[in-house]
Amino acid sequence: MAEPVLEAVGLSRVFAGPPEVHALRDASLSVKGGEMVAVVGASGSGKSTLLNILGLLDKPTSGVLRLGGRDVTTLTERERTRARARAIGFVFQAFHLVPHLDCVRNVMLPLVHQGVPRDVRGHRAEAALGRVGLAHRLTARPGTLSGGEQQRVAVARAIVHDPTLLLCDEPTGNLDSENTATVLELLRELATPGRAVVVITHDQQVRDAADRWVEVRDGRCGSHQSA
Amino acid sequence: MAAAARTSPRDVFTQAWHAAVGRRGRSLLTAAGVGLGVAATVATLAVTATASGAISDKFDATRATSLTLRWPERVSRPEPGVIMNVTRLNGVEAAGLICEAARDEHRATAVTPQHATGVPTRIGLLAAQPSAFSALRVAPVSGRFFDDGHGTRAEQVVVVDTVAAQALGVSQPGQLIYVDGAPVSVIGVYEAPVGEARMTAAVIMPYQRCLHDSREQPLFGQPMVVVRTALGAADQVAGEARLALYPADPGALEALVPPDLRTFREGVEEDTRALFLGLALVSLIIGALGVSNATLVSVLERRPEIGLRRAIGASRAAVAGQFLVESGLLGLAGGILGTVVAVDAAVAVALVKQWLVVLDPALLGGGPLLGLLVGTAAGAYPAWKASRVEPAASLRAS
Repeated sequence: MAEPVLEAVGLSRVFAGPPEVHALRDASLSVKGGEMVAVVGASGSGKSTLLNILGLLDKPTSGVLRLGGRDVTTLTERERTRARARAIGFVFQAFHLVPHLDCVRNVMLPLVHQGVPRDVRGHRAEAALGRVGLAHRLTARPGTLSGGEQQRVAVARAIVHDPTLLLCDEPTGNLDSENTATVLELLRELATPGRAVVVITHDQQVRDAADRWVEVRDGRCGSHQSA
Repeated sequence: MAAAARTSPRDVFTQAWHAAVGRRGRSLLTAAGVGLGVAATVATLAVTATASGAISDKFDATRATSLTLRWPERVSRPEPGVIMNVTRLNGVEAAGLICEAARDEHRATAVTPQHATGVPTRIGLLAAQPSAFSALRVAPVSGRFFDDGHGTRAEQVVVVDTVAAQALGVSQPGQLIYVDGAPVSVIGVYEAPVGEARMTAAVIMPYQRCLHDSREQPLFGQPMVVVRTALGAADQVAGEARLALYPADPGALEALVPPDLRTFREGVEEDTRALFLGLALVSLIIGALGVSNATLVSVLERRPEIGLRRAIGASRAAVAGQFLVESGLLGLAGGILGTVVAVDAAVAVALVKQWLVVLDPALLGGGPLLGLLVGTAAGAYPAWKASRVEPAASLRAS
């Protein structure tokens, strides 16, 4: 049985007020390598807070978070930055591609900020773009690509450093159904034994494509198997 | 978990370079702001250096071929003919005797209607041989100089320089003016040469007025012999002329350095330059504020990009460094642009004025460096703001 890539136990997050807001209450979640998990819930349910904590962009008020078996709850900001750079890939609804950089340079960014040697970066970025079917758009600027292509570039950027956890925040929110299907297929393929994929979504299509889904309601998680 | 390596300084620079070049229009406008300030500063320095050089050249050319010897005190004043002993010397092109009255004590009044009742003009008063005009490189701009005959006949004639003429309202030769209350006729107007302070705003009488100055308190000081020599002959002539003029005691004749008008002019130039540099500094500050503002706006616009970089592993220092370098690059570009414009402007001024262009090489390097410093300093606050961007908030907000 595969080891959990991600394990969250009793996470809570309280935003100091007034009024004090309990965005997460005793939320627990475990995701194994090769698994694709959808996190669903209504607006304001705590999904984004959960994603920020899982992605080491925020710290829980209480609870424990383990990444690859290591407790990352108490890391300093600098250590969290390094942990993010090594182990996590992000895909966002708004793509967040840098408009003045071409596709290869956009995909290279995680490697740039990790200090990966220059001669290695180009090959890995090209390989990642090839992996998402965009080997022919290496030098295109984001502004010249369709929404689906832009999201695939963002996916390539998220996997170029071979992270163990891929966190996707509404990755299909700006895509039509055809591009949604393409991106979902890609995400499914990326859930390999050494990597887990967690997708926050409102989209039924995404929920159905996941191995299982977790519903966040009033800051608490409840797990469900997909059909 | 092993610590990952950080963004290298080279990569920080490269990212900043891509951002500056990738947003060309905005970068150019921002750089132009610094460019204006640098251009104003460099142009001020370059133009004043060129102008000073031009004045110095004229002065040095005069000085290398000029010689002035003061007649000894308590020795009777020489007759005009003594000057022939000097003009015969090899290397002498012209020589003449002049006497200078103590300055600031003499007043001239014009008799023209508009000046008749006016306040007397303060003037310099000189007495000179006609040959002294040639020795001093002075030529009349209107009328004529007096000759030996005017002096011998003790005619009440004078020549005035353009400055005095303007002050007295003398528009044409033949007009009568009063010098220290005595009427004299202006027969010529000359332009005082550069470097001759004593001939500026002055009235010159025939030398005989100095020779026959029999008052108890003489109006004029002891005579001076002014000599124009061939280039490089001044030192040689100085020794020979002393002997030729006063064989009894050649060492009693004191050699005088021409009055240094340059010092005065440099003083004025320094004041002017300080004023212009002050204005240039103001434009530089405005340019710096422009870069700072543009970079700050850029930080606000690029919050998602900053958030993304932070999310994927960029440290706060790497983000701050990128914006600092970006701002420095824009400053450098402005500095180069400004220096090119300033040098062109200085050369254009020199061409129009027919001056030799004098450019300090340090200025050519200093302009871009100034731009770089201004740009970097202006980027400090926006860079700090960029490093404070929280990734979670900036990624969600977009």
